[in-house]
Amino acid sequence: MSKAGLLPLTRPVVDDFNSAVLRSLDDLFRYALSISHDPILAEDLVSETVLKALENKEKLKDASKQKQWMLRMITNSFIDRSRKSKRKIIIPLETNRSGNKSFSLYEAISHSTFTDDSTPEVKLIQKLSSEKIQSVIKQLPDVFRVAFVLCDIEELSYHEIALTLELRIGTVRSRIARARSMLQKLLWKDALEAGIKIKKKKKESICDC
Amino acid sequence: MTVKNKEEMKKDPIRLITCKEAEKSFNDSIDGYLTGKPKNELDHHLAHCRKCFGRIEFEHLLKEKIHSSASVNFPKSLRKKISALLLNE
Repeated sequence: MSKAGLLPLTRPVVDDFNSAVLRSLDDLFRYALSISHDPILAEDLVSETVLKALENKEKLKDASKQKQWMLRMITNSFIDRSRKSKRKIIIPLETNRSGNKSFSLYEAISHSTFTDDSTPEVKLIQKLSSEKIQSVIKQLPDVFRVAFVLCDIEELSYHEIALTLELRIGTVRSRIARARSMLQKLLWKDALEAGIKIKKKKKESICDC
Repeated sequence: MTVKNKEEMKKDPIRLITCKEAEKSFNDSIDGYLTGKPKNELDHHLAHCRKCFGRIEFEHLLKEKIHSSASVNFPKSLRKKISALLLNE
């Protein structure tokens, strides 16, 4: 109550920790949704993480790592839930030699041409909708999707991803590379299934190395 | 190019790497981790190879497109609930 006996016009100022949580809500939800592809589960993951963070805030030694710390909580909760629900990996991990070879969407499309003769790579990028990209990300196996989303959507550094997922940087690097390769392969399959009108062009030798 | 750089180039010319070698550093390059000699070698290769140049441009475009595909609106009801929780904490 103020001196004049009136309620203060502004709400109490929350502490730095709580302010940082509020500021990171969008990022936390986007991450939760990108890895789970389920809005209800994403809401649960964020709520649960905020509660856990509040309960354990004394344990956070370095305030600058708060977002990373909360991303790790979301990741762990998501992985725990996946294990409990025994959710199956949607696309099997390819174990044969040709399956492990990295796939390049650019390579696949660069020797083809659209019927309107536009540059096929640029045309493909233009045609990709956000929904399509998200539906393809959803098909990546959990372990690859989590590393990929932290890198390409949350823009964390390899070092930050390694700390968040408690992995070695080399493992993070290879998971991101595998995820990109799988994602491009899925986009290519999808483009073919969608009946993209492409015609084979004679392969040109454009590099002498 | 400075005289000093020319001298250095004579001593240690940049090796022209193959497409396969270049491909190994694509991910590090698009994520901004390539520096020093490996970066110089990749840049040198890209200046000579139209295919790899096109591919790395494509990878950059795709990465940007993927990043922009993930914009979401935080559910208002959840924000309200969490804000209330944090303010009353």
